[in-house]
Amino acid sequence: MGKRLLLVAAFSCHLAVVVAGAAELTTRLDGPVGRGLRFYDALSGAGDSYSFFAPSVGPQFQARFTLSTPQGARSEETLETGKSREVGLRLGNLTGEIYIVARRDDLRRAFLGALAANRLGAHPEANLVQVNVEEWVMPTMAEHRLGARPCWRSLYEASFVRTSYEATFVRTSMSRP
Amino acid sequence: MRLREAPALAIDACFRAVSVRPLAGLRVGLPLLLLVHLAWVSSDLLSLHGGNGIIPWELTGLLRDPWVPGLPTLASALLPLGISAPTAITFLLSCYAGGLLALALGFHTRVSAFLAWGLHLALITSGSASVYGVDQLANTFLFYLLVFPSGRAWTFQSRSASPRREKTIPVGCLRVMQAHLCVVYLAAGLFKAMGRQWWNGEAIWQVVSQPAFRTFDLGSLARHPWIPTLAGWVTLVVEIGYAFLIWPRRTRRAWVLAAMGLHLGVGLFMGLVFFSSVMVLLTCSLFLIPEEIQKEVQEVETVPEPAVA
Repeated sequence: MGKRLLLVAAFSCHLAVVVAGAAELTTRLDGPVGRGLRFYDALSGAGDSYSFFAPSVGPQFQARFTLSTPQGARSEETLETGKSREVGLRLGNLTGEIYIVARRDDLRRAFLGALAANRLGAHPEANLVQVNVEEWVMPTMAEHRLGARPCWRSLYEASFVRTSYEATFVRTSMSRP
Repeated sequence: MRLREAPALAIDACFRAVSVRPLAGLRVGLPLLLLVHLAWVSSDLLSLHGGNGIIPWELTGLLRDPWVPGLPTLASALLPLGISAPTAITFLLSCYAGGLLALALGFHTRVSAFLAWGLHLALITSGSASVYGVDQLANTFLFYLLVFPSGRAWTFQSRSASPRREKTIPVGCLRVMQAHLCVVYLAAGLFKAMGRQWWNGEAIWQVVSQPAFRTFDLGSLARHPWIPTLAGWVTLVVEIGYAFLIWPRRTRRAWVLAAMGLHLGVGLFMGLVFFSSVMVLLTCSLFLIPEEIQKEVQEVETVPEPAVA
């Protein structure tokens, strides 16, 4: 009976964390209790929130690269170029995460530089890369009926040149939506 | 007297024996889906998770919970053995695939479930910037496969290793997973209902038009806004209704079909095939596979097994 009581208590506590997580309460808790709950959430998934595409559909992001060679040739590509849909979706999430992180001045250069270094590594012939983090702007149905069409809007732009071993930051510009 | 006995009766009710088949179905299906997914993204795994991937480990460390071990932590532990980081990643991913396969086949299910869950957790921790909802759900249900006795049926173990009397689990195990799945649907539905976009069709319009999800050119939907509006309402009804109408026997099959239809639509019009497959698997294994004990097993069954072996 004692063991059963303990198991029922454990199940009940677990489900209570599931409900609290779904209600986005666990993320608001600070201190050791909050940290402990978030750790248990990470292990068990009990404290996750499930607001998929809710309450509204968020924007889509992409990282677009313009690569230039010393001979003056230019090419464009995105992180998703040539990837499967599943990988493309994950890369889009990654760009969205970088967009959020890049709002911090101290981290922007490191994360955009990582993207630039990745592309320069894939294109040894290029010596300059311009990184554009863009947001998909989708008109509403009413706007679409009136002729508006979706487009990519630039949020961050930075250029990097190749030195012997690494991408060196040249300049950056930002446009707030 | 009866009032005094009520708590004991309630606790005993949580340990009523039910068939292990729903849990076994999940144990076979989820690892197989994760294996297919692993093969699907295998050529890009090092870009997403490797030390020299799109985001190097020095930077992924800033995005993840420092208390939860990611692939870099595990790979670093192998460095003193002379194993380089890329080799360590390949080794860990191979262990992950092996764990998933062993779990699906039912070989040493507790050990293989630990391996599959632990390495899946490490993967989603180190790749936290690129994960999405389905990774959370896979982590959750791998955790249940680890904690609950999922290896009591549909395994390749010898008959003596899994006697007939063990083909049951306490109903509490099944109810915890079922309740969790209901919370997932209810929360998803209620959060959607709080936004205007799901009531006026704009959410459906936005989703099927985003390049990441677009599978067909549905620009003509703008001229027929009632279609996305109706689709939004149906999504709300199916997701919110799931938590209540999946339980009664009279509505269960209808709601399983409705949920499958919803995910078929998500797979077809948004291209989220892996997510949809996992959601259909969860509903089918937890609510469609009968939990009633088969007659011949019921005759042998006398004492229910403990919840956590």
